[in-house]
Amino acid sequence: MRAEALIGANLLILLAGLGVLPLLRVAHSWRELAYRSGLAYLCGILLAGILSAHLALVHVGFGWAGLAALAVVSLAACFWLLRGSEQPGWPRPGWIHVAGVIAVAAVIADYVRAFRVAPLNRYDAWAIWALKGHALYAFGWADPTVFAGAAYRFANLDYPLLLPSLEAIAFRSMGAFDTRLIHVQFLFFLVAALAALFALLRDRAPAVVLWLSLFSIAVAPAVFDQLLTAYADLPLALVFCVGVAASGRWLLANERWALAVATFCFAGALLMKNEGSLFVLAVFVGLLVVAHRRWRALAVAAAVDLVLLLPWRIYVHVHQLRDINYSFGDSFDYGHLHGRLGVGRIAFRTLGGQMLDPQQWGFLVPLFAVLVLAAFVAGSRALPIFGLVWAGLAWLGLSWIYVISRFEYSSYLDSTKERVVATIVLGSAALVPLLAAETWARLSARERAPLRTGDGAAP
Amino acid sequence: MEGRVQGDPRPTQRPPVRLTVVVAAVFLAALAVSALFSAYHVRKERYAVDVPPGAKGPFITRGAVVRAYAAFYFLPAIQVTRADRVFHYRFR
Repeated sequence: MRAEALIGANLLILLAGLGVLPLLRVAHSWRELAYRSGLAYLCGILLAGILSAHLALVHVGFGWAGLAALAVVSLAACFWLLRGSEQPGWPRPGWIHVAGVIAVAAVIADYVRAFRVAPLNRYDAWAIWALKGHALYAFGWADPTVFAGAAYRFANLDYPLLLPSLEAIAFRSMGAFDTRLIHVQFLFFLVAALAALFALLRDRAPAVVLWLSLFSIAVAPAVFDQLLTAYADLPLALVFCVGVAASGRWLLANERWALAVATFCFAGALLMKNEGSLFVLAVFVGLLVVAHRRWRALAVAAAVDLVLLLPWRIYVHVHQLRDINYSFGDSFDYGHLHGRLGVGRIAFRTLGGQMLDPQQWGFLVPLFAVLVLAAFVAGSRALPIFGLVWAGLAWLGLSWIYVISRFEYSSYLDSTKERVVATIVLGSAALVPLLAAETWARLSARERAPLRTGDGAAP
Repeated sequence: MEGRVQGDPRPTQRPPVRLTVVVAAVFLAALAVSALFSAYHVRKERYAVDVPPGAKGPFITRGAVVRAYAAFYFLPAIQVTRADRVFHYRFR
């Protein structure tokens, strides 16, 4: 019964996400809504997560009634905005799409067997995320006796509340603090991200490339292992990688809706984990480097993300919560840095090794690197530079964290190196279909018109 | 054209209340009702943990792990520094 309740709650989340697509200008007609409906589930998860995380700060619980209200309001707005628009056509899908859906669905179905019975036995999972989710479920809001309590400092109280809020929604829908079935909610992140990537890239990349990319992400051993830990790193990576793919699409096609989707995903990343700020900063720098002429749109997107983060930052400030692992302020503490600068090089090399480890991530990063090189050779600039800048900055930023941390670096690096790179790996992997399509298109165009150069969209 | 219903010759105007305002109001009202219905007061039992520091691991001591697990396991009871109810734990 709890499993059915969890699925029911996620169906409401899906409906809420479907309704929000016209508001994000992803769909201007019923036909576009059907075509891009793969984005609905992830948008619904982000909408419910962001909303419930903010409501938790002002003593409002978010359960069945909240989900139902959100779905009804969202769908009402959708019906209003799309009234009288073009109806969907329902063309017969190609065999590659059918095969791709079956293959990915088979992988997910296999994963379900583990996720529905997995124990909550990893430290961060019970000591940070599930504890907060349980507290939100039990008290109905971010009660400072727990969320700012001295006895709970170990639980990284300065981490934002999107993930615990989603856990709390799951617990409320199940009517119990079920520490096993909650893992299925983490698996739903993978489903949502794969569907979103498909909807984002289906008309920009060849079907076979797209499905091979999605399948490579789904079967990467680290995706399964890390999702099963019920940590926030993989959900962060999955949400962020959709934002990266949407950013890549915006760079190439200059479609506002793609930037809106990216902005929404980056807001989710900011509210998922503190490290999300580093990744989002890196991606905005990357976008600014290659699309500086479109700085106004980027400024609006960044402002929206900051506004969505603001309520949580106010809560953190009011309750004087601090990061117990590191402080970026220590970047200016010469006495602390003096003896630790060598850590940066070690961390950089170690994290690079983790990203390239085929037993964790397959060949996602090597493939990304090869395609970046191929795109350069083919004459593309915007997409490969964007990929290199954000991934490079994120890699450097992660390495810097080990330099400024007060922990003994080898233990800290050993215990976190596998999971912190997840966002860089999946973000890079999300650009693979776009890079492949871009390279192929340019090489084909070069064969037809050898002197033609320049990117598709203005920077 | 006598007897035929004539159209309003005035230019079309925005309706006095926008739909988005209405749906936002409905949503907020539904949330308020939801909050009222679901607002139950969990009686917050308070307890303290009495545990020696124990051996130090890479990040925290074994005693700190016990405190953390107690905080997780005893929720919705609240862990505080001092309380009438004390959870005693000793390492073998």
